[in-house]
Amino acid sequence: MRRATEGLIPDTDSMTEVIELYKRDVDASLLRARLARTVDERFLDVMRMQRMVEELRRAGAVHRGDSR
Amino acid sequence: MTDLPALISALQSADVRFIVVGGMAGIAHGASRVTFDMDCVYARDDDNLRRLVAAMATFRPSLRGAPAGLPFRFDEPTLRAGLNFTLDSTAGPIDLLGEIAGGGDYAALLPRSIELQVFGRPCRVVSLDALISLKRAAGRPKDLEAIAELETLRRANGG
Repeated sequence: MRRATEGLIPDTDSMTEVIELYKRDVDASLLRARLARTVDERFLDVMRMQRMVEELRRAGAVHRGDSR
Repeated sequence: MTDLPALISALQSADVRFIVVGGMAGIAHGASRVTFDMDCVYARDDDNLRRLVAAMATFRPSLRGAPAGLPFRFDEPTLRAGLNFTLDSTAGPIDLLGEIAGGGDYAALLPRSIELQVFGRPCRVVSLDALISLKRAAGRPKDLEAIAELETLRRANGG
């Protein structure tokens, strides 16, 4: 049986080190663009992205002949 | 797709007490990561359970990932008997959390939330500081990159 804590990382210095490494690759220009949008616009953008992802998944499934 | 205007409108119209957490809260704060469900911490008193059931009924909630045909009734006894529910609905996936790791229940999280106007309605969203601490408490490897972005956002906001 999978334990609830399996695969989880305790909030430790090593966790912080990994987070700090990821920060090097955070796209600040992208965040500035997000912050320039209103909250409603941020949510609507996500819905548009979700729609696009769903369409890409559908197209990929058709290409693979996947009927699921 | 998550129909956020419909979900938020229905929950607010029914006076459901809930706090948006998780990826959608991150998006509200300006995060760029796309998420596919809405996570909410909901109050578990009887009045709120009744309102939540009424508000969600129109979206025909079902257990996400459950075998087809598995009986499931989204009603007050079900909510009372459980705690956290991962649901599919006609408005998209929604996770209803009675408690969240590192944040506790609705009452505990309320002081750590802010009220935003979302699609013309007031909507409580967990604060950026609290969201970061929740993700740290969850300790999921997949969250580490998201935490890096959220902490960068906090710094950009002067935090």
